[in-house]
Amino acid sequence: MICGYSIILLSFLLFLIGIAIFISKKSFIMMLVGAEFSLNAINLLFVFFSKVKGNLDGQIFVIFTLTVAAVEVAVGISIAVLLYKKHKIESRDDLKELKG
Amino acid sequence: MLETIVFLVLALIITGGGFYILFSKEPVYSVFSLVVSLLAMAGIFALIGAPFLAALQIIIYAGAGVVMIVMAVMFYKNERNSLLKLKKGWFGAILLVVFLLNLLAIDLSFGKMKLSGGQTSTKELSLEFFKNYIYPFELISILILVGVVGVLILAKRKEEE
Repeated sequence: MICGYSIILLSFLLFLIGIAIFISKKSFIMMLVGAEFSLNAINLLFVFFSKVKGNLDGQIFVIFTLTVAAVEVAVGISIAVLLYKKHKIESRDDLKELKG
Repeated sequence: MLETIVFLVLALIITGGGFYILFSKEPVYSVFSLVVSLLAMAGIFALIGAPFLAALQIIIYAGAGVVMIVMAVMFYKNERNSLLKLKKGWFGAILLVVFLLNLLAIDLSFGKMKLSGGQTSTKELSLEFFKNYIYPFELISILILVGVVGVLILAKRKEEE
């Protein structure tokens, strides 16, 4: 059987990779990819602890997280595409001013 | 032992995909690397006994979400930017090997926290879902509706102006 600590460590590393992608990429799309990656790592942790505890709450919460991630990607990408089409803002370095 | 080997291979694929996203400059390659990572994560879900969530992972994340991201990447002009510059991939490879050896060592030495055996069936999951979580289910449906309406409003306003 797979031991638990390796899954926890794997989830930790994947979450750190997602945060690093979110920080180091400049375009909005790749930042969203990093957020997806982090959410996925947390999903792994939820499923694992659900299997360890023997109840189903973690797996149900994973379904909620999947839904929220899908909605987040849809809204975020539409906002990013609109920013690019209307204001030619592509990376987050272009967003230096708060004026609209 | 076979499960450990499969788990290590899947962990290698996931972390390799993550490092490729981190160090790559091509957005499209990064997104397809994300697909590989998500599929391997679905494999881990199936391995630790949650096959329904593995199917959901493949359908929603690797199917719908990544298709949306690829469509959005096609709107952008192809600018290759990443803050992390890595001339050679050796650093990432060494980090990966060290991490996997670490995983293997922990796996062999501790092994206290055992998974409860057996697969979670879809029937079990749906019974729990509709018995105890019916109000969060409705709320999450409303969240999807709000997301769809929001995206439609954003897309419509672009056409009017």
